[in-house]
Amino acid sequence: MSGLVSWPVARAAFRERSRSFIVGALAVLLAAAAFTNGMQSGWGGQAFAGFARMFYVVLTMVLGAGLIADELETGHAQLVLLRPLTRASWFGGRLAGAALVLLAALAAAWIACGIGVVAQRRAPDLAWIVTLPAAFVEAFGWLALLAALSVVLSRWTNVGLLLLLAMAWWFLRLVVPFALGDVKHVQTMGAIQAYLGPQDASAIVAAVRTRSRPDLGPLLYDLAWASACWLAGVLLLNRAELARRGR
Amino acid sequence: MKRHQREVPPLLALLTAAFTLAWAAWKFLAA
Repeated sequence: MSGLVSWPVARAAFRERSRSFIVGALAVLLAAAAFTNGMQSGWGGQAFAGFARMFYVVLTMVLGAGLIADELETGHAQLVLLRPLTRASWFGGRLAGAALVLLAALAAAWIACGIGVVAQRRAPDLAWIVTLPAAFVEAFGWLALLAALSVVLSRWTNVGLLLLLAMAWWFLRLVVPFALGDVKHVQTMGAIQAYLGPQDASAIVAAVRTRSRPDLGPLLYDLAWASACWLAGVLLLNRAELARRGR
Repeated sequence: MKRHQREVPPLLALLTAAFTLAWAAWKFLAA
């Protein structure tokens, strides 16, 4: 485990990322949204629905923006890597630190939702318990992707590239089928879209409520996505020329 | 940069392979 994550680096990244004003504000908004979800529906399975989902997606992007690039560009990473520490464990430490901030914010919102449910004189059920890992695994997949992109893209442009690709994709998806005059392409592109990034794993929550067999596909896909991005980030960092001669 | 600092943790490669295989197996069994 020590080769995967350097915990001193993770602790420093956690401190740095959690002290940001925007991160704090988004965490409060997320908790408020989850609390009102619990109050309105009286069901814990709604913890990360609607506005709460929007807030944690934005929180993930803020946490991932420049996660690696900031340290490389200030030369801080190069200083830290003078210590007996592998690049892989430094990268893992940065990612784990940001992921822990994300987990803390999600857990606080999750508890707020539970309180909202109890305030409606209902008991939080198994579906409520499942919402936390389902939301975290998906968000962690995106965070790992942002971290890997941050090795090669400067400052916040890892988030910028992702938003640009998303906009380009939505433009293609909404325009191309009609330009080609064949509406069945809408379905084809919808099927492709599911595999372009970590998937929404919240269908498990509904399955737990109806006691039907949950589809673990999205959850496993997100875990594969997260570990593949983590691996790609380490490989990219290993190839990166950190000593910037004459630049 | 010393060579040992450029190592790739085997556990990470193993996890990636394991999750990808688990997902593929799940999709195959569900189909």
